Amino acid sequence: MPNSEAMPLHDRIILSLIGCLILINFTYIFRILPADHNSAVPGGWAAPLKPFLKNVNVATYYTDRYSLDHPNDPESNYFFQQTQYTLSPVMLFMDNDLTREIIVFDCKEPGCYKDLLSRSGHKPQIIFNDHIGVLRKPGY
Amino acid sequence: MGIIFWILLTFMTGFCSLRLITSLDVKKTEDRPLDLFLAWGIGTGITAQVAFFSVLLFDRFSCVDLIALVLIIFSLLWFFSCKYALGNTIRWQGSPYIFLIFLPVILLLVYKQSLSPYGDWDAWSLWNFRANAIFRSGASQWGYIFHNDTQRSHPWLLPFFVAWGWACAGRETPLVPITVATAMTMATVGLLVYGLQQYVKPVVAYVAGFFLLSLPFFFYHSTSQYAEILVAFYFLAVILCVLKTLNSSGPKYMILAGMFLSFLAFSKDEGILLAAIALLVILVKPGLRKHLFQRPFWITAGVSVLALIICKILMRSDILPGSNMLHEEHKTNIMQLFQWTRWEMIFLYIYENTIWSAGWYSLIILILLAGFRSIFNKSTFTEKIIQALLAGYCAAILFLYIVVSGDIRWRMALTMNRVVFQVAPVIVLLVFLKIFSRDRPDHSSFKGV
Repeated sequence: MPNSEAMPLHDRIILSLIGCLILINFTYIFRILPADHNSAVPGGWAAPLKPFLKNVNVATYYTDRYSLDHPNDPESNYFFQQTQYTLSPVMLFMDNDLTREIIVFDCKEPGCYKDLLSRSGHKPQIIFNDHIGVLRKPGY
Repeated sequence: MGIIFWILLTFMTGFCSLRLITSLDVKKTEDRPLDLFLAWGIGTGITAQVAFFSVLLFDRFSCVDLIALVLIIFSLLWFFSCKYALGNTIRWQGSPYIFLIFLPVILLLVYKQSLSPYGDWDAWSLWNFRANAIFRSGASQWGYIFHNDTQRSHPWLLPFFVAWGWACAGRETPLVPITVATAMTMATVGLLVYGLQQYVKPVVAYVAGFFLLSLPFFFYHSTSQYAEILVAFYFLAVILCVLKTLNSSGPKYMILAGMFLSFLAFSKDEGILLAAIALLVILVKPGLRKHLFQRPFWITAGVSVLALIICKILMRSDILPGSNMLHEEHKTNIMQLFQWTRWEMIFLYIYENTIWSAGWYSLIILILLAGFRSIFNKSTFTEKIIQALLAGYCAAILFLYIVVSGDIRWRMALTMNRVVFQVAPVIVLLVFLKIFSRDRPDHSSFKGV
């Protein structure tokens, strides 16, 4: 158990130094906090797929995170949609080049995603089944 | 209302388990408020595993069945803890009300989460995505959840815990993962503060808690709704339980250590690595090793280990229906250990990016201070154990970075900060022990060491 004696001077100096570090860190956090929110930039490397998505027959659409973060941006709502299949709930999403590498999508019609990809010029890299495919960003 | 029910039931399940484990101890002493934070961790692990086993048992994820199962387990724990734990002594160490000084930081965390309610990328594309898959899986469809994502290697504690929260809430509300992230963050801080108070003055322990929260990457990543906060919590809990074992003569804290080791392994792949290293260190030290061969340790650890093994088998095999996803396996090349350029890239990356951009510089300053104090003060047994664990983990991570083929810089960009995040609470514990601990027990004379 820690003793009940007064703290030595050098310990108080070190504690004060740590206190200063804490203040510096929180100042940094406060400065960048207001700017930290999700920035959904539709398009990017998967933008050519956009025209073809209108032909993807997905059962239901459910707008998730982007619609809440960017309520005034219909482009984001269109790009980020989540199916409500109980069988294989996958997300259809696109994001900018700074983030991760995949598009996962689910089609009602078997094989429709192959047609989608062939028309867009992208090559499927992982195939779940006739309904679901994954397109991996080049380089990943 | 459902969320409050979820929080209370989770906590009380953990609390009753803790009381029951305490009753096995010779001294039967419950150390408040440290035990309260440990209870939350126990409740999280137990309810997540009940959710996992309920899917296997009922062949589907059913909210009603799961709630009923957890209530039954809680009732049993409550009954037995009331029966056997009546004679437990409650010992208050430090004031729990002082923890309210962290209220402004809690509000800041909540505000930060309100800016991104669905967490960071991997939260909604991996962790919460899996929870979605669990929550929505119908009868005989639960097998798909182990195949329908691109990173099927990580264990499933967080997704099942979030799904358990949604089961209580009745819907997939973002409030559940937000609460998980905030609660686990503050529980980690609580463990650090009240664990440290065993060795240093209370004011020093509170400063340590604030320091941990002020680390920029820790502050940001703790609310990202990733599984790393679980790893950080359980790793710290294992360390504290091992250290408490050295101070006591009973099996209570070693039993808890076994439980937390298994939860740690069930959280993430890095958790498996940390748990393995911790187990090795425990095996090496005679004072701790004797507890490993006791039945309660293996019973509490065994359930989670069983869940982990089943999880890994399901993810790697074709037992279940679902897609045969072509998961890209990482190739390893042991000869890369002798390529100096890879080592150079690692240390250059750490210097250029990790220390400054993620704000770990303040932790580096403290480590240097602690190192300076080490010149004058010999390390205690407590500190040596923590150092051995951290050194082992650091060596394992470096080894993996070197031998796994591929772009090191890309891999480090994705993982380096998270690796430091997972052990940051333990590093803060160690440096504060080294700098401020005075009246620490001399474990070199501990019987059996």
